[in-house]
Amino acid sequence: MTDIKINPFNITKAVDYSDEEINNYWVDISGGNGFIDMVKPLSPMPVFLLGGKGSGKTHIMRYFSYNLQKIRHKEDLLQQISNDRYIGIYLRCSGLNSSRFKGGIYRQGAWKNIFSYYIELWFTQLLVNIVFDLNDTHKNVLLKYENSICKKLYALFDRDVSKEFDTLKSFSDFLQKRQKQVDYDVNNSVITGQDINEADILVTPGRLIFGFPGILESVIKEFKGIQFIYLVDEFENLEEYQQRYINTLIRERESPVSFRVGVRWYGIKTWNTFSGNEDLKVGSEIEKYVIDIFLRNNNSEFEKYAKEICLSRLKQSGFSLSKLGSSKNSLSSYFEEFDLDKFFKKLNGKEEKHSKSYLFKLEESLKKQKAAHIESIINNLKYDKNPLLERTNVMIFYREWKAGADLRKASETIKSDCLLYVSDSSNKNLAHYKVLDKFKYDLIDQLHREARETLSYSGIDKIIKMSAGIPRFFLMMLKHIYRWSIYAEENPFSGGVISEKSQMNGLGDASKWFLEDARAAGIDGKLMSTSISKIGQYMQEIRFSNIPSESSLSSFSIKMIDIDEGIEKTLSYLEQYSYLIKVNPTREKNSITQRVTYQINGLLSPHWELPIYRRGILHLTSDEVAVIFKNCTELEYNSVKNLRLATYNAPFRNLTTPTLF
Amino acid sequence: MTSASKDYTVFYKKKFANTRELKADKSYDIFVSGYNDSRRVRDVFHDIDAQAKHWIMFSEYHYTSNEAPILNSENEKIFSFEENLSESAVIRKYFEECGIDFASLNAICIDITGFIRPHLVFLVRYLAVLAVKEVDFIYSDPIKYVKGEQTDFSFDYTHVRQIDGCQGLHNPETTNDYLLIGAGYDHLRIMDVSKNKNNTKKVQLFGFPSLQPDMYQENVLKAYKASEETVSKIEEILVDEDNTIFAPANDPFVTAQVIRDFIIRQNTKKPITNMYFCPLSTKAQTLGIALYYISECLNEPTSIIFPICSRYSKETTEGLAKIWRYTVEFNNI
Repeated sequence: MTDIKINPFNITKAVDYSDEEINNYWVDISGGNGFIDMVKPLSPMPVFLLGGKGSGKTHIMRYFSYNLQKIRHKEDLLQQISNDRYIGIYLRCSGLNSSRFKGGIYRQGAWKNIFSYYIELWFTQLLVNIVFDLNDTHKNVLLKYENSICKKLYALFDRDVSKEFDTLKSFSDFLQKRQKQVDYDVNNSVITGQDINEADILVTPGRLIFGFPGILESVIKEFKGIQFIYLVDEFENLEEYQQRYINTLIRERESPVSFRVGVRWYGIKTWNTFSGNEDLKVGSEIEKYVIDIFLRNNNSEFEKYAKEICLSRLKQSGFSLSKLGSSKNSLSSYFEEFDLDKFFKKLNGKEEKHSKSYLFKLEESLKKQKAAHIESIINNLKYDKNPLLERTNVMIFYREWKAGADLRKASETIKSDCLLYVSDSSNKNLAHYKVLDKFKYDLIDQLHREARETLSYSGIDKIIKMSAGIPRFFLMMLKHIYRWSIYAEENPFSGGVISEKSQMNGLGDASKWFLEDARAAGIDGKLMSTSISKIGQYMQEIRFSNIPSESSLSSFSIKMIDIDEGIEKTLSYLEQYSYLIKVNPTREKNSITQRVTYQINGLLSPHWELPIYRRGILHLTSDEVAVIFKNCTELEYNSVKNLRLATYNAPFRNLTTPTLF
Repeated sequence: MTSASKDYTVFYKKKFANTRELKADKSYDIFVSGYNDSRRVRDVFHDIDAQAKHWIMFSEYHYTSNEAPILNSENEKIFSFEENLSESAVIRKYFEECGIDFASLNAICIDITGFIRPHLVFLVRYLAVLAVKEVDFIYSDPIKYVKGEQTDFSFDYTHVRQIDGCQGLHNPETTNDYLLIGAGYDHLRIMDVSKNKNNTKKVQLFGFPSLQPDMYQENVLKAYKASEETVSKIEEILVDEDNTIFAPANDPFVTAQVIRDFIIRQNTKKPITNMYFCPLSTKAQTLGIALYYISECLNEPTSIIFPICSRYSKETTEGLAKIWRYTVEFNNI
């Protein structure tokens, strides 16, 4: 297998797949309640599939399209579609280039009329193309219906168009001609600065979109009882009034037509319709799913799903792997995992100024405070046999320092406790037990950082966890990891093991990509970027302080009353772009205060050296919320931050000016 | 989309070592330039021989009234425009306000160096609509970009849209759509436009030979940062014959020719369903894309699209290496 050069995870976006690949790579959630149950192609109820970038919307939408039905049903397509009882008419809103239908010298109402007409022509052409394709596949079997179809089509138009077409081909040409006329008029208007002639609109909104499928269903016997599903993807590309128009079509849909809408989570600009200015009603008029939340809430299912995706990619690329679950060849065995003993050996091989920098730093701090018996204190805290215990000694010492204890005595107690812990690590009364029970992984990460080593996030299970329910993130991480592993000549998935280093390098690249990629546009986007950087750095500084208040700090909470309109918008952006993951609401102990809790997306964890698992929660004060999630000066931000950090870092007193708020 | 015999490389271009040479070579009825802080833009404006000289102040540079250029003679004029006007509105307004019938002039010169790209594209489209016969376009090569590949060009991105006047007659069939990006240093904008047309096959047009020897490498380094959006099926290869084409960074005519050849080649393999161009490389290549568009893409499923930003750097380069003059014969293009 050494001749394999193509990265099996190279394609991370469904748009880059051919129809065949979409079909081949299709993986659903196991055990029912998966994507098929979400889309429900036989249900007349329209469905909105929301999701972050890379959540798999396009893959799902395309899977139900006619092109994929054709691949699945190689034999007797027409009969098989009749058996399917639906035809998926897939369209990407980006192809409409719809931003041209706005602005300039025209009234909003005029643009709405032009756009709705354009949609009639566009959707109907897509369906005509499917009918042509079916007809070609079945040697003109549908031509016998042409005459009846055309006669019924004439009635859908507001003007007599009987001389314009008499076959499906001429109907298609007619639609294309009318569409080009609209394109030409819109284009010309910006050159001349003149108005568009609206009188050329030949059909009432909805007449073709609902009428043409209705005619096909009633005339073509093989179409009897089937549903025509418009799979409207990339809905976020539409302007607000355009979404409102499509919402209106959805609300006023007529059988045999239904809709499935794929849209970025942040891409819904309105739920409103032009029908009495009312919103679409979730439950009674539409169903709505947020795919990444759905996958995150089904943790174990997502884990299986992600592994299936990985195996499917490897299989399609020619790798030979035994079925997942076989202990010898399970996916986990291809990824090196963190080994504490190995890490200790690595530390031992380093110069003490790096491997024991925490002792040097402590010594410096004590000197600054002109403390007595420094040498003796440091010697008491040393424990060369086990860096983790030595680091624990230092953390406990900082706690004693903050508590105002006699430092020399404290160091002596720590020394004797350490030895007791070595002889009996199950003694729950020892400070070492308590600290390690809660902060073991934080201290290991501290040791990494202090020794200038990259933090470890290795192992397939951690990688899946970091992807936060978003398949594209998972594939992106694997793509970069594989690339680094090939570079290191590790022979990944072909007998070799992917080293921790390759995994770290790959995750670092994926993390950087995500941070840059998920930028929102405009002023809001700028505030969002600043906010996520601030909260990430904030938690990083707290986590690597002398005595972090919380263990496994990757989450923070905000009091509901601190969330004004601006902060709400920023948080909502951050959540919808998947920077933040909302955690179930909490209530402060012994308090009626309601808080909302967020976790930093695991893919961003390497960027700020945060853990991917969630344990402690940083409860932000009102001042902190304001300086992190609103525009403020650096002085204001630092002032608030320093106030907080002063309680976590020696000498544990605030040396800065009081908060400005 | 393309006839068999067209050859853009026959159009005339000339290189000048400095503004003195340019001045001595030809005089003009009118000279138009987009104002910014670049020395290469100001020197050309100052030295060129023209009966009328017009500065266009693009609001995207955000000059305050105190920063307006100083006029040296009565034949110089400034045209300013309010913010948030589209490129078509700005260019139409300029022609209305200047009141000059360009079609009746014999010698027109436009320095495109300081132009904002969508405005430049629409200007070319508009000049063709106005039936102007011939225009000399000037483009000055810089010696270097101020911060090499770290130079910032555009800020405050808002959205991607078609450039006015270059909105094609598109197909609902989108299975073989292409996006050809004139790939410059501004990798964030490459990402923005690629994401907007994410279902297209991406082809990058690189400036090679580049304006200066080191610029090609800088350019590719920057484009690589956007490779997650632009390269898909090819294993880690950014510069590859399937997804990259090359044209000299300072030659619009070869640029137009190279694009033309590429499109003929692709259409032979499999008909392109929709074509999108995005000019993010040099202004000379932007001119090339615009010329190809007005010559062969009107009434086709082809658009020029652009990631719109509300702010641009007033100065991104240092020095003036050479001045190029491209003579566009609109009636022959």
